Amino acid sequence: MEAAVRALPPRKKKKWNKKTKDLVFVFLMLFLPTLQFALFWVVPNFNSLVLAFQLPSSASGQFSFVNFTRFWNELTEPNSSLFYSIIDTLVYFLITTLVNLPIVTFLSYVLFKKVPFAKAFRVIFYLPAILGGTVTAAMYRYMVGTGGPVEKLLTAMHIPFNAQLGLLGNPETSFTMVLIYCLWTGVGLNMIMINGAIKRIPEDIFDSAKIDGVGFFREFFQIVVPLIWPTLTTLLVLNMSGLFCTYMPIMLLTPNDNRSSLIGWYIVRYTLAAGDGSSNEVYNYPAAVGLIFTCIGLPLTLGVKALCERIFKDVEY
Amino acid sequence: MSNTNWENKKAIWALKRHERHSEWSRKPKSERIILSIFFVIFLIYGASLIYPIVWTFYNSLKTGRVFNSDQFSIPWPAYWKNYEKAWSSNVRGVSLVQALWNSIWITLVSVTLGLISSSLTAYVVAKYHFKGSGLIYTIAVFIQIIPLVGGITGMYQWLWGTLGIADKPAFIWVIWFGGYGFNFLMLYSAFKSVPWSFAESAFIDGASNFRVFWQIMLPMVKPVIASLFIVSCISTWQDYTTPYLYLPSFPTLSLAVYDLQADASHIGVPLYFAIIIISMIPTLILFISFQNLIMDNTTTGGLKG
Repeated sequence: MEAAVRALPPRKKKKWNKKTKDLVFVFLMLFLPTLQFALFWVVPNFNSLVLAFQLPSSASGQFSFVNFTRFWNELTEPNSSLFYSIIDTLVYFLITTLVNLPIVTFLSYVLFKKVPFAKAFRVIFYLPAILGGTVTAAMYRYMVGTGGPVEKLLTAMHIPFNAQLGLLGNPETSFTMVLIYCLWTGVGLNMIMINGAIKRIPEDIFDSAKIDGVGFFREFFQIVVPLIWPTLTTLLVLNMSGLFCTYMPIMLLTPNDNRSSLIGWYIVRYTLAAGDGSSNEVYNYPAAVGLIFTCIGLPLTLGVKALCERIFKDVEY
Repeated sequence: MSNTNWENKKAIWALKRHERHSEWSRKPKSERIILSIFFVIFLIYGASLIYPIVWTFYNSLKTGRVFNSDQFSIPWPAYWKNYEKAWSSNVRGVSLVQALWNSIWITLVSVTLGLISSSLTAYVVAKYHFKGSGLIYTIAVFIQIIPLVGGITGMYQWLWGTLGIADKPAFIWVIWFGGYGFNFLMLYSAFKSVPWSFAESAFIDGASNFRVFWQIMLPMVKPVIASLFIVSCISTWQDYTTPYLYLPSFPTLSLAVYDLQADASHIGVPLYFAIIIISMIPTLILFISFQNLIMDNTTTGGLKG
């Protein structure tokens, strides 16, 4: 490109040379978005960090570890909702990622192997992602609600349940119902991505596998999984990094249930209470909780990413 | 003419059907059995996803009293009045018509601003070599994967407390002008794949940097922008957290569905169902009309990181 520019006769009228003009252009293009990024990404996150180390309700913003002490006290008190939130978050991760991902990977492979009406299924499974959380959750509440279809089904199958409280209202079953909701709605999005990754595998690999007499399951474990490993890694890492931030399923289904919660919802709940002003809550505490889980989640996510990338190295096709 | 067209189409369909059939019969027997089993599983799971929509729709055609006594009866005669009454339901002090309008303007403003900002940044970072261009890309990828828990607390306090722009539509739009998120990564790879030679010849003709961007490079990535536009429209339409947290006096349809669930037994569950159906219609129409585009876009999304 530079050669082409140099070959031209020099343009005397222009005061600035091309390089300066390029730099000015780059600056102008990046200026507003970068300012926005600084104001609405860097500052809020930095704000959380500062809040975490401030003495609550002190105008001078005095440095203090009191928010972390409170974290420890809340964690170790009997029947601690914080402690249960951590356990629930781990169970949530187990079900929605460690159970969901392998199942969905296999289902995507089945879809790829041309199950009849594969195209229609792909569209239907994607419906929850299209309808969105509020709509899907609202319908789910009524599906499992009092006198609804699921209760009818359970009665017909003679499975006992607490009819008075309902499946979502009963603290014994509510979190299970949240997990079932996540599994039920969590197939489509992952399936589209994994199915897309399988489709990108060159066809001659499958052809030569067929000639070698590789069966259905061996093809899946020895060919498909290693070849789509980068996509699986990405999905796993994204799920992990969002783990402590997730609050949607609880906010949608059981926002008033103190027993079952996720860390993400725990933080949002305390933040809203602080903003509300009607309680004695302060922003400093949820900020400190967030910081603690950032410190746990960051090395964990990066570690898992590094580990996954080492399992099947150099996948190229 | 149209007759032969029709004949041709029919022949093509027959061929395709035959092809599918022979492909199926060529599979080993064990594989056919496995696929048949999974076909049944898929059928049941698919039905469990469609049934709630059908159930919600036909129950939206009942009066509250009929619904309370029987959730499974056929709504006959259909009580269409719920769809009329739905528009005047009260969501946070405004009507559903106002909520529809809020959904429309919030979706359009936030999606448009996000795309403008991202295409500015993605273009220069992908196409100009300057100090820090690599760093910007690395940071953009990094913030997608690092878990910053509790950022929401800082944001909430920053917007409500320090800046005080929350719940003020005239100011709140700045939070949508983000240029380094997911759209940035998608547009970055789109601009990367456009050959620079088009720009070079324009520069030789004396075009300015901005003109090259606006008239030559931007049109080249139009398909990517179009699909990002549709996908973002759907996700913004569904989003209830942004209005819930930062625009509480301007409820969208999605927030209405969330808010009214507590009131549902009060206003009548079938009426609430009518509101659910109304709120899902726009996204369903978008999805049906741009199905392939949406699914393929999500697929490429799997590549990032």
